[in-house]
Amino acid sequence: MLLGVCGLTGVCATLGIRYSWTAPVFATTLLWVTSYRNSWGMIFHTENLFVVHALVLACAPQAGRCLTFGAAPDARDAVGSDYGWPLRVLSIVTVATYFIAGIAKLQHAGLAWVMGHEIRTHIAYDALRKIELGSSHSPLGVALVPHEWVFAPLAMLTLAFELGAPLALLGGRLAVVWCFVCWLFHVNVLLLMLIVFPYPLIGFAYASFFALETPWALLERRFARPNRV
Amino acid sequence: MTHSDSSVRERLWPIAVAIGFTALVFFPIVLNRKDSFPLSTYPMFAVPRGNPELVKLVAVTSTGERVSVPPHLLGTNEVLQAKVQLNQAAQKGAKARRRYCETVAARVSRDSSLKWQELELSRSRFEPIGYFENGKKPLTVDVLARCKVGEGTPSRLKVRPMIDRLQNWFFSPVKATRLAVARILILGFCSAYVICGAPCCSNWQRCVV
Repeated sequence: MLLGVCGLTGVCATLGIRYSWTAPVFATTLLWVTSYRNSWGMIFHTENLFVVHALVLACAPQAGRCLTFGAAPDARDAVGSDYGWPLRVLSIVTVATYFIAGIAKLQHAGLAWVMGHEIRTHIAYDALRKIELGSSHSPLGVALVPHEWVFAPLAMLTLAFELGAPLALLGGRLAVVWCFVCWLFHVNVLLLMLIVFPYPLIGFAYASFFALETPWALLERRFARPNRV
Repeated sequence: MTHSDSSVRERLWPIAVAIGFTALVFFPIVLNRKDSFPLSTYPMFAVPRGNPELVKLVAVTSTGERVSVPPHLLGTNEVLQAKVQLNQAAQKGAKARRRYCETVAARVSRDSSLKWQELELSRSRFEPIGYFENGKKPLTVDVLARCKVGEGTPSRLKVRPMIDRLQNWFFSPVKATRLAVARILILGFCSAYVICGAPCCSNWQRCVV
């Protein structure tokens, strides 16, 4: 029942239908559903970010003012800080998740984390656990574990991009570079541990950093019907 | 009901209002209340002023002329707000007073049209009548802080532009479409995650294990 409400309100909120209440209902039920799912055995860190993003968007009813059914024709051309701050909050949340991950590494292992021993152990243990439990594991991760020298630069890069995450808030090229490095990091996680972070991997996690109206306009032009005025 | 009865009733309300409001207006003085709003004894002209003190920020120009620093350089366009700000600065310790002086000096130095060399925060005591009789001079002047204009900005001053820049960034306007597309991507992903995840994970517990 709750799952149904979550799915239905999710579709409505995505389409901007009755957004001012479908978005909060969706975000709340999504939080409930994912919290429930994460309450049994292990926490799926793959879900944290998009749940928080959904909650942020639920606090911004103005997100449903255009690209929706029955919206005023000129609504999409509206410009204002009203439309900007939710995107900034999304970016701050995204950056913060990576930044605190970097801080946590320093807290738990100290600067020694950059030597790569911890990350090497994690990759090895992840593969071991999957092999022992009969699940699919990453052959690349297993192949790299004996080569100790690979992991120090990997660890350094990881920590640098995580602690340097706030730089992405400066926008421009820095944001683009950081988003790309972040995406590469998740590709790396996928290749070495076979763990899929779908939200960042398809790039939607970084949507708030980009001028999305430009590709949207291109898409609209591409798919616009010729007789459409 | 006679005509005179109805006219008395009609007059009753205005009279009650008149008495009520008159009583209210007298209320502060009868009960010896302090100045308040909206009921007041309007004591601003009643209290003896004596020799009032005034905190000022004065700029010294390259020719030695002394000019009062206008409110907008203190960070406000309101004269009374500037007065309160100066009084608050004067009540603080020597370090804080100096810092305040330097904050304004940094603001002054950004205006290239101003050829001021030094700022001086001072508390002056005036004799109001004598002021106009003796060439507009104060009775006493206590210098509370002095600082040079354009002598370098203390590090704390950089905080304000940073906050301004942060605010500008946070509230910078964007097109409604950008937020709407972000909504479609993010919530679309979340919805798909729930909807597509549901059939294969009808039992969430088992799915996780």
